[in-house]
Amino acid sequence: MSNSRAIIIIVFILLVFAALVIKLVDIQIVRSEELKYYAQRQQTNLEKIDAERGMIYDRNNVLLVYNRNDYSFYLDLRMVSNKGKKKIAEKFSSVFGKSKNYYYNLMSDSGKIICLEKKAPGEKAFLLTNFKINGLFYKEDPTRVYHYGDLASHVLGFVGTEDQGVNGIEKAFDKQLGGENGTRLVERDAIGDMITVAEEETKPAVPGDNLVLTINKTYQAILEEELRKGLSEYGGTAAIGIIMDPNTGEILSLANMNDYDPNKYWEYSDDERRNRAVTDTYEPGSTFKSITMAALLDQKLVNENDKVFVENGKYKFKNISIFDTHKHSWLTVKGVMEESSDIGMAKLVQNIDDDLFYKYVRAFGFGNYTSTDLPGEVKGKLKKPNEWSQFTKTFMSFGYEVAVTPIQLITAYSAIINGGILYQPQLIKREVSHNGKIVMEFSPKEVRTVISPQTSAEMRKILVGVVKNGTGQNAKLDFITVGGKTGTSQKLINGSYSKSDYNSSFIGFFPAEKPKIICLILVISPEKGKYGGFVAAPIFKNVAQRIINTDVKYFQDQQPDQMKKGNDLKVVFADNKKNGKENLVPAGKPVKILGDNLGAFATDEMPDLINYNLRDGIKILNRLGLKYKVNGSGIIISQSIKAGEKISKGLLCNIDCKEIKINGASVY
Amino acid sequence: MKKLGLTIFLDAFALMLLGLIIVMSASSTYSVIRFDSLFHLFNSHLFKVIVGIGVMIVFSALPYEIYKEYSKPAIIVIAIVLLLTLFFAQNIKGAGRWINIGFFSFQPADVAKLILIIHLAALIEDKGEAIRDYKEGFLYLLFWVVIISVLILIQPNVSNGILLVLISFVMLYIGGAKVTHLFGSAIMFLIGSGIAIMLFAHSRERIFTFLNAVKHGGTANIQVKQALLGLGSGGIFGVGVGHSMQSNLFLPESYGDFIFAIIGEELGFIGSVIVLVSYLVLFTAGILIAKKTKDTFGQLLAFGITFSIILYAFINAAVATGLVPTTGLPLPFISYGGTSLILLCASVGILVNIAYTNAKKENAVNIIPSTSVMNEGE
Repeated sequence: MSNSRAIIIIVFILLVFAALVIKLVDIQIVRSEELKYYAQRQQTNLEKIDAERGMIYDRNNVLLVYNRNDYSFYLDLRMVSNKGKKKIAEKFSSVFGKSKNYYYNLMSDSGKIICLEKKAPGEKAFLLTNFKINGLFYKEDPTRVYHYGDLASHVLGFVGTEDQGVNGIEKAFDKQLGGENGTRLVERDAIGDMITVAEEETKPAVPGDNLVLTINKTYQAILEEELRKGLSEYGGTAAIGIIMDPNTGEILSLANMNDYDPNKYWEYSDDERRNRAVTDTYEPGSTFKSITMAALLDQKLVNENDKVFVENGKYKFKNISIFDTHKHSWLTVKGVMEESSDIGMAKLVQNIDDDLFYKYVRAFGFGNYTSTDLPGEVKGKLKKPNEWSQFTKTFMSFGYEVAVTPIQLITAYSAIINGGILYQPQLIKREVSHNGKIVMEFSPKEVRTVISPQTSAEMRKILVGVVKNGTGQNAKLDFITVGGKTGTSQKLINGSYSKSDYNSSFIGFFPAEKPKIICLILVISPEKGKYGGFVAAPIFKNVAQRIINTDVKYFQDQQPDQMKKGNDLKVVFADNKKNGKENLVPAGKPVKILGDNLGAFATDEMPDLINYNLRDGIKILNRLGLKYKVNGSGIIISQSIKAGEKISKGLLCNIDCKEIKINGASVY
Repeated sequence: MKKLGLTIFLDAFALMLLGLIIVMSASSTYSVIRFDSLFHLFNSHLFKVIVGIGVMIVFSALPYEIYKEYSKPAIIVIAIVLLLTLFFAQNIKGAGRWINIGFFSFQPADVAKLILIIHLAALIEDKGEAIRDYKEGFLYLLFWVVIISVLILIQPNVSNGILLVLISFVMLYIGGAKVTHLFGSAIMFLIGSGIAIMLFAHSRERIFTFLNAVKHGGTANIQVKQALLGLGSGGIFGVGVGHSMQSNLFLPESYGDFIFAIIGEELGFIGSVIVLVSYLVLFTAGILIAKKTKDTFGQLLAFGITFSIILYAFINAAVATGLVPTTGLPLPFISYGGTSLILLCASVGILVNIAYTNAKKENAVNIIPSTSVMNEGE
């Protein structure tokens, strides 16, 4: 053995040692932080903890939507042996009742990780708790359950694959329902299996809030059943129904037919999932006459007993002909509504000027969002007066040249009958946190006062007349007074009005004296019946009758009470004849009719307004520049500033009026 | 001398203990996932360590001189076994290097390595000064080196083959062969092994990825990248035993060829340097034994064994730190592995026996200074 040669080898070894130590200094000391960073990045990841989604209840705390703890089973094909695959096929086929080949087919996939069973219910998953195969793993995968299937589907909406709200309340209140996802820092191995959880880095998930809706599950079921029945009886492409509390704007039910099952939303078309009640507009037709009438009455521009010549069913307005279905020569204003005369309406609306009419229509919420919580709402179409043609106002008065959504219409009607206040449609009663704390109590939102309580009372009376004597008779109930208005509009198809496709609608309310329920029924393109009074009114009647039957006392007990309290309602329910006599103007004091002689009044002396009808009285007061406060309607029976007293502009004059039935005589 | 023998024994024993701990930590994740038991690989490793220690004791008791007599038949037998391996071995990891005998499979290459070292030592002693003569001595020695290393190379086990040639050449060099002869054959061999590397896909790929990485300044391959992440996260003091994250399947072979990275991660710079120093201590003790041994056979045997251990250790560390291309060689005494560990134990047993035998001689004669023996060979 050569010593010198051995030393060369030893030196060589020492050089290698030195090189290794230098390299280790570089890796473990100089670059340690950098390498540590990359190592931790691959070893740990911030994992999302899904928050449990909030539940949804109806107004009586009936649970409508909840979550079921399902489990999804996955298989990492890189980890599983052929023996394992055989075991899996056998076990899964016995648990889930599918063929072994089904699983073999899945496992022959070329992917890395496959899903064997998606959202297996807990009781099935339980059978697999002790079944362990390399590469087989599961994840909690909660399923949103809509307990009553298609019930209120358009209100509730549904959630997508990532549990995100896609439609309806689920979408509108996604943030509240979704809660706050948590995170945890998880150390993982190379194939992603969890090793440890860093507790100090964990932020727990906050479950979503529960929502209590204004929806009444019972009413909703009734409405849906009756709409479905109606649709099969009368035909039609779709039917829409909304039930509302007119005094608060709370939506008690909202349904579209056909509907869909949110549990299996993917089986339905977008068309079926569309909430037409807020997303679709239509020309309302005659139901819109109430809007026009309310504006006219509120401005005291007509009196319900004013008479109009309705041209025996055919009227040439400018160069366009307007036809009435029910031909008459003369109708009272009330009659125009009851017989739903387009001609009458066309004539009456000329009393109001364009801007004022537009202001009213706008004030009722048309051409604007009702701000319901339901997603996808549209504004409808309302032209501004400067865009109007010479026909627009006339046509609009009976519901053409204006496009509205059903929710807009029922909201406006609520204002017409509830004393004049427009409410924002309300769908949520309260938001409750997962531990039962009330996060928010939603109260009715008043938008504005549109018409006076007196006008509202008159409108209720008129609408009661429609059901009692007019086109809405099919909505009449036996023991409860119903008010309402029918609507039949030709559908605008490709720019011209269809002769065969109609929107048939009815909006009704009850009990008429102090309405608790207002309900809109709209059937699109019915094959039978055509008219709102024949198609929608009977559906309304069935719905109303069944709703009353659920709580007869609730609806009946109110009646006598209201009779006592509401003095302006008395008129509505009192017998017409008897009332008429009472209100007859005493003999020898004929009703004055305002001619063209307004200029005859002196401007510094109070004229005698007694026995003028209110409308003319107001015209005079306006001319004199007096402020006025009107009590009641009809013929003026007293005035606070006596005739002949000196007056100056801006003085206030109180006027009392009384309803007077004039038989067989025109006030004009 | 006895102290040197004891040092080597204790050093090897300590490294095996460390090996047990690190294998436990590094293999547990894989064991659980692959075999559904935390201890599957550890138990198998523990069994081999126990067998290895038994083998070590047996070999330290066998007088090393007897190997001289059996080295020639042994090398013929192992050559035949290697030849058979080529035809019958199971194909593992792209290399047909394992042979299955009953309850466990082993790599004949590991056995062949030790036998070749023994036989070379015996031959060099036998040839004496004739080693300087190309035809009479050198070629005769080279014959067995070529036979055994080529059989291993074409298994294919390129890295083991090359290292075996390197060990053999170092032994020939120490044994007094002419540098020109060594250089000439080294060049021939380099050409041969170059062809071999290019012939076998897996070794070719490794070389290419390494060259690519060097060219583009990146890291050699995913294993080395993960090894560096492991070493780097260890820092100076390490993350602590059992806290390795890289062994959670990020670093393939973390309990085998890349266990050095886990040592670096769990024990830090201090730990990895201590391990390297342990090999250096073993090497120094081995060299000192060789130096103090009176017969050329014992000297060269001790030197060959010592050199092969440190060579494997340092090459392994160099792979883990990205200094050289990935080779697939175990870290002596520490890596999980069967045959190599047992053969290493046998080697250490032989070293210990050389130390103790020569200590006895030292005591018996007690006149000749050890340095004079060293000069004898020259």
